[in-house]
Amino acid sequence: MEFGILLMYVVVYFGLFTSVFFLLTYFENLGNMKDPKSKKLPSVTITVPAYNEEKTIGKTIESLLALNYPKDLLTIMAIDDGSSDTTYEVAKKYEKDGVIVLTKKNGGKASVLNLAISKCTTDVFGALDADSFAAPDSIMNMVGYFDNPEVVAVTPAMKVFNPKTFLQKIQYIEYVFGLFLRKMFSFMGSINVTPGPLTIYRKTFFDKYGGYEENNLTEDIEIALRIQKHNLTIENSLNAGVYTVAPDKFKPLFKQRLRWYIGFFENVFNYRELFSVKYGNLGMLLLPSSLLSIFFAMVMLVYGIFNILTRGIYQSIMNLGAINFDLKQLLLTEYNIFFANLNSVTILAGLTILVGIFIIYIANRMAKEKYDIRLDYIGYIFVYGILFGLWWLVSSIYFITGNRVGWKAKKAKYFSVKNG
Amino acid sequence: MDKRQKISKMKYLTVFSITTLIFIVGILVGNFITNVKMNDVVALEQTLRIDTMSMEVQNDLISNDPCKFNSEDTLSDSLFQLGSKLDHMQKIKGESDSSIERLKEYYFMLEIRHSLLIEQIKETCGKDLDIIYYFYSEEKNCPKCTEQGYALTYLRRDMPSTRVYAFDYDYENVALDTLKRLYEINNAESLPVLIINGETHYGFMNQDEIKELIE
Repeated sequence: MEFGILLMYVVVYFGLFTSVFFLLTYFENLGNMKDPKSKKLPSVTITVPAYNEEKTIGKTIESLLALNYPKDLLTIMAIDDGSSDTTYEVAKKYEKDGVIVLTKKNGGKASVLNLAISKCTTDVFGALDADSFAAPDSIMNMVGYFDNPEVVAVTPAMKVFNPKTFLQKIQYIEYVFGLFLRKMFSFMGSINVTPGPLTIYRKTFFDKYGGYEENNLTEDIEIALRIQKHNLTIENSLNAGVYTVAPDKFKPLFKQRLRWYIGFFENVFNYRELFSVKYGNLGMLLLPSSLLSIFFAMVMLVYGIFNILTRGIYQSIMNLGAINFDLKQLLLTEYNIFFANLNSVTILAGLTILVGIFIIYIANRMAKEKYDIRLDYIGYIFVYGILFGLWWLVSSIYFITGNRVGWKAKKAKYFSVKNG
Repeated sequence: MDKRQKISKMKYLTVFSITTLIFIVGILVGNFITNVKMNDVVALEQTLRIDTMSMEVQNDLISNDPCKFNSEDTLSDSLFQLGSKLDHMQKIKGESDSSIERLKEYYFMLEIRHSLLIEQIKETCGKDLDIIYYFYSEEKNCPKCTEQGYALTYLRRDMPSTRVYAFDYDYENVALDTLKRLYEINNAESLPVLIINGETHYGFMNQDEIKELIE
């Protein structure tokens, strides 16, 4: 069997297996989608770490001030990490609303969070990146999970804020898909990322197991894996909406993904002991399938590019040369349904795409947003796969060669669009 | 450990079963479509066999006025269609599929018979037809054959009076071997080979070069 066909069969089987697993998990838990109500509301601190976010920090703080949560139980902190713009001055304006505003020498996002944890006196601690905005009921919908003493973190439903460009639109779908996956992961006890925007933690977790790793590229992955290592629980609330500004151009998006993906490799490598039946679905399915999907995405990309360059583009040029580039002759092409590429591989690939569309449909209903994704989904299918493979390929080269050049600058560790 | 983290063997088994079932159904549907296409090719080949025979019989019946009736145009189109479909099926089923190999061999015989009829019509009726025999091989042995096939496909559409008969050089049977000997095609390295109106040309020729020879 030709390598390309064999590869397609393996990828399709893998894609179908994971999709069926998630769909089965979804239908098993249809009755468990609602968030539990808190018997006794905990006190909560939300910190806004900010580096050069003068344009968005105001809106971020305002979204926290508008939270539907008792004011006497809510502390809002904004910490400027030595910005060179007017971030600190903008944040200072909200001191009159009870926001605690601090500034410090630039040290990276994790250092800001650790400072905030050291000052936190509430039951629950969380952060909201300065380019993200919380929905009014988000915290109220999340805190009920802490009634279960095993729960140490609750993740929100992350969505892209006001997608305008094509890249933002395909990220919107990616986030909607992520929203579905994170909920399924929570049912499987296997959440492996606690996103920076508005994940909230039981404060005692930090007291017992320490704060954020300041040298880590993706502290949100590290914390999640640390929680899993201690067999504690991470929950997810579908109703805790948090909106983040997604990169609108290729370059900042590429930088952001490099940081996320290299960080993923580093943390998964550091916590490789989690690849064990001892850690349930996380060790047996989630982590292995994440690595497998990355591997397949890279192989498909390399194989696809090789084929397009050698067979596709080269052969097309040679063929056109054979008819002296007389393009009007192509109009003479006769189309016949017989020649449609309908065979086992294409039918299975089509089936997998259909299952994917079904999952996105469910995810979009779960997201409860009015945004119409139908047209963008076509772009998502054709473009995202290529970008996904490309990002992972470059990230794996960086990881294998140990190259972190450009990422050592602590300011680059923000989720910010500008800094990637 | 949270109870949800425990691995449910039953769930993994269920997912495995459902996935495998979908996978098998996908393969079966794919095979079914391939079989439908194969049946179509076989039926087309049988129709062509009858049509070619009936044309031969027609020629015998009207031997005193062979140019009176002529249905070679539609037969040429059907023959071309069959060739394209066989090509497509070979891509799906693989180069070495024995059922395709048999059909192709029979197709080559139909081509030879048809070309002889065309030669006859050309000579006796003075019809302005150009006959091209094209010998090709699979891509690894003849890298230029893909382009040559492309050029000829469009040439046939561009110049309806041209009849192109393509033969796989690697097939061995008495008729094909005779054709190869007749036109002195004895070296696979010289492929593609075109025999244009009885004249042998070795190596790739683009559309303009072929047109120049025809015109």
